[in-house]
Amino acid sequence: MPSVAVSGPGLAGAHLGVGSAGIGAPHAGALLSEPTPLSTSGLQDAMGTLYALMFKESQNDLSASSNLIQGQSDARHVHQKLETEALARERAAEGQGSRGFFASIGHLVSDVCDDLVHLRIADALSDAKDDVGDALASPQFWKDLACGATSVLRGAETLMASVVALYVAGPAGVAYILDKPDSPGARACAVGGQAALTAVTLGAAAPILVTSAIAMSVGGYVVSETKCLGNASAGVGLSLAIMGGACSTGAAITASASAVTNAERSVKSLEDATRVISGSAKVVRGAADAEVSGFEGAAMEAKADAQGERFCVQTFRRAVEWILDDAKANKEAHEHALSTLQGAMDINNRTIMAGSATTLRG
Amino acid sequence: MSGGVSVVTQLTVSSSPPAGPGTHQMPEATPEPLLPDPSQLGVRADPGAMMAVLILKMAREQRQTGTVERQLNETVQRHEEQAQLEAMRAEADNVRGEGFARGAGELVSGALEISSGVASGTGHADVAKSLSGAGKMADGTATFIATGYKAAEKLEETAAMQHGMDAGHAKLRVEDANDGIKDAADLSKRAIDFYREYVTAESQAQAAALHRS
Repeated sequence: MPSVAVSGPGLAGAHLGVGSAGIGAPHAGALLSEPTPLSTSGLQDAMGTLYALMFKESQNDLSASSNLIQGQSDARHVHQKLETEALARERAAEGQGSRGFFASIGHLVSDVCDDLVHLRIADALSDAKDDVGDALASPQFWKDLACGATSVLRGAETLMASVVALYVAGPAGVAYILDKPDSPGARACAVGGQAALTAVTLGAAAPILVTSAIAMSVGGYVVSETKCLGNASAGVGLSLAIMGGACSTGAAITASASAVTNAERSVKSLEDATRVISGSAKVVRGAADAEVSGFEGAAMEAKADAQGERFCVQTFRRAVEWILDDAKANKEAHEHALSTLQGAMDINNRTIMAGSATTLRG
Repeated sequence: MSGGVSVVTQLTVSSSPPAGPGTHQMPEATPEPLLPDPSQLGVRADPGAMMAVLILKMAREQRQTGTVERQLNETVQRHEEQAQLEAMRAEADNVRGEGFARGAGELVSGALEISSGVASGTGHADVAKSLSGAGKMADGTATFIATGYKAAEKLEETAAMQHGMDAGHAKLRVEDANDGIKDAADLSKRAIDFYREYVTAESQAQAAALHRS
């Protein structure tokens, strides 16, 4: 016979059997017992059974909530771990803790030298391979390489601009380039200075024009910089610079193509060498920029992954809060219902006692 | 005593009005009156019980509405968060694309510049000029492509920010819906407390009347 053990107040460990007086045995498939004509003991047994069932339900609810919370917490811990890993990937892709260019080279050299000193040839080869791999996988290495290539490129451009400025405006021009390497004039000398340089190098047959060109360019620069002519300095300086340019072009037109001096040939060779150097620096910088942008993309993807895991953690944390709120509300409701039912049972017992006392007196 | 009957057994609410024998079932489209017939509530014609049942019905509907609203806004929040993550990943792809385009352009233009310098040094001035021009063209093309990637990157960044804000708004609405559900539970509890006090007062009055008589 199925039975329900009860330990609630007022029932003090009473053992109620389903199917005792007042409650019929349930037929197959029914959740509740068959109703019978209500009697005093039947009502008491029914309320007792109800109390037991409600108590059991409250325990089951607590257990279910506890399991749900455990499941949500476990899932939250998994996603927290994934978030931590994504953040570590982001830091690694940004280059935190990675070796720079010179540090990588130094590490490679020290490892290989140490192995060679101790005659560990195989280790030297494997260390060299590993260190080169580490360097190529290091974001800071590529960033340093890009910076270095940019510096070489700027240096080559400044050198070319200075050489052109030397021929166009003399030492004052060089000083101007070195003082303002990013100025429009410097950029024009670096980019378009080849034409001016060609014009000047072909000026061997027209030294007067060349000298005039240099003098007017220098004069124009000095006037505009020193403002020795007051408010008219800017206009006069510009006019002198334009006339100097015109003289330089005139010298090129009147010059003989074959009359190139040794000095001019040297300058041309320097210009070609500068072009090769700047081209090489661009190749290196191009490769470095591509690698650095790959690392930047990886860092942003890792950041997105970390954000996704953070969303999951927040969702699970919120779910746990809701489960706790529901469990607390259920517990209060069950306690409420149990105390109300207990009150009803007490009143029922007092009614029975009062009825019995009246019967005895009568 | 009638007050000894459990409060729980009295507050049974039927979800639909029972159809008696020979009666015609009303179609679902007919709107319900504001105050239902007491017999339809399944309780005796007791004002206190009616009030408690009405409040419980209202609380139940408020809880159902709150639950549906919470689920809807949770779905919206999840959708916006996913969209934000996709926009961030697309932005990362565009950053890579921009860098690769710029790097490839510099590689090609640098190689052509090297060739131009070598050609100029060996006396091939025309070839040098052509190579130099080709290098500038490669640089320009790469800059054009990289600019396109940069523009797409900015658009994705804006989209990610927009989706993030929308997800935040949905999250606030979820919290509001949850507060509505909590209020509904509180309302149910108060309805039951009210009915218990009502029944207790009624039974005490009956007991006093019996004692006097």
